[in-house]
Amino acid sequence: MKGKSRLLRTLTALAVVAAVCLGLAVHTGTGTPSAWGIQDVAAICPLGALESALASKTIVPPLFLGFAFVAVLTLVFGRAFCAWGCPVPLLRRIFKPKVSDAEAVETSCVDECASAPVEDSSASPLPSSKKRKVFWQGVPAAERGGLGDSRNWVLGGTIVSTALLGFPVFCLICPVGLTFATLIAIWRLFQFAETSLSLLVFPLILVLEVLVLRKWCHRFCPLGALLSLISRGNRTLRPQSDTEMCLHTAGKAECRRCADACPEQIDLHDSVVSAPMSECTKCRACADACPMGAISFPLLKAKKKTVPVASEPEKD
Amino acid sequence: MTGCTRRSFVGFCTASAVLAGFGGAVKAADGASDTDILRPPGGQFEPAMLATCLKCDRCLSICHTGVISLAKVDDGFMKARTPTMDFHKGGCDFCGDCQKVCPVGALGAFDPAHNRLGTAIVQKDRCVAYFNGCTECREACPFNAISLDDAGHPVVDSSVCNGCGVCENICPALVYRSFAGGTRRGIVVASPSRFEKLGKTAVEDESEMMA
Repeated sequence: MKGKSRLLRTLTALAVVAAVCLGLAVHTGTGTPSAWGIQDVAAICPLGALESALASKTIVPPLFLGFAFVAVLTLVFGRAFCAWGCPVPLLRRIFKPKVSDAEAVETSCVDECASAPVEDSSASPLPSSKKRKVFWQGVPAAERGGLGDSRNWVLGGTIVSTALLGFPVFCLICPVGLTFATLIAIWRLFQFAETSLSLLVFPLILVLEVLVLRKWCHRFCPLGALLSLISRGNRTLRPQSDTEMCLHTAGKAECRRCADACPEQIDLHDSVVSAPMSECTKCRACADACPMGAISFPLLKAKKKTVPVASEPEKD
Repeated sequence: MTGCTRRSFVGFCTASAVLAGFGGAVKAADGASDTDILRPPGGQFEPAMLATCLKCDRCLSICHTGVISLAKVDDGFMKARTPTMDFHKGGCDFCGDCQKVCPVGALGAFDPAHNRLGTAIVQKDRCVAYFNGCTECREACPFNAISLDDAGHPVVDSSVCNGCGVCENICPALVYRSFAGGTRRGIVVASPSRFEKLGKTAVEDESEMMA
């Protein structure tokens, strides 16, 4: 069970890369996550679409349809792209496979938490209050996605700068775009022996963003911020803990493994300190961490037996 | 959810300032509306291309002749990854696929009879016809824009040429003649703004072409 979804997430992110390579090898017109699809049916990066529409002050039908398509996907799947499709966690996994425990708690990377052995996490020397991570990057976890969230500042800055300058500013440094730009540059190096500064500059910016600014996703990413905003309308596929199976809600043990495993600071047992549910990336780290297998991601909220958030106050 | 605190206001202003500063610097360096870069059909108005293109790679991927290439960082950081035409890899048959898949309208309407990607310019120092006989480009031109003068040298009719690049793609100058450095062929498509500066369809050498 453990790490099963982590492997799945790696595979889905690799599948995205494979699809881009397919588009490079044969003329499918698949594209990259910036915009992708088959022929006229396409999804578009919602942030890129916003930037392009703002910069050109026009909305062409494919842009509108692509944006609407992505908005519907986000309403249904929430921020699933962040965990399942985005190449940034994949890059981290490839280039920084080992992160120390202290760093893991700090950066709260999905993988380290999900793959930490159960024994270790229960015998961790950290006091549970510190592990609760009630405060998150300087703001309470409960206020993530709000005005105090630095990702939203970058989102605002992206929109303001694009409107001011008349071109998609953030696209130039977007790590998702640059990952595939690097891939394409390498591809063309082999296919056409095409050398350029792109081969140096793109990976360099990428390294700076993903490996040096390790908190990119939680602190800076305006795409994640925008997906969070759209995800406020998400009601499907939300994690739910079965109250009878869950050790915490059944009163059998003071178990917080799901909350500790969550890279987005969602606490299914404490709505007061939990990050809002719109932050959920459906990564399944909580379901993997639960010793009882009590957490599921039902399509629709179950009416009985389960409560998504327990009302029990926090004991310390 | 907190309201608008001083902290969030300062954070938002900082992020805006950093991105606007960065974007402004990039635009000042590479945002010129005149460019030597050849664009796919419908992408000839450079400011609109730079405003809309998301660098999504769909046009490059769908192009069946492989003529669509990408601008590099060497062409300017702002232009990097935008689509270009590389006539060493193919010629354009105006099939319209790239315009169809472009999700942002960066590649708009294009009529091969009236609009142009660029104009073919004969490079006298490279053209094989100036040394031996060669009629490859004249035979290949799908729009009959190339004729031969009395000396057998190709002459481009700039009122007919729409810059499809089939001539440049087929030009054997680098194959038939001894290596003279670079990759410039005997006939080269120049971007609309470059052609406007040149004002003619034949140049003596590279320095005149790039003047």
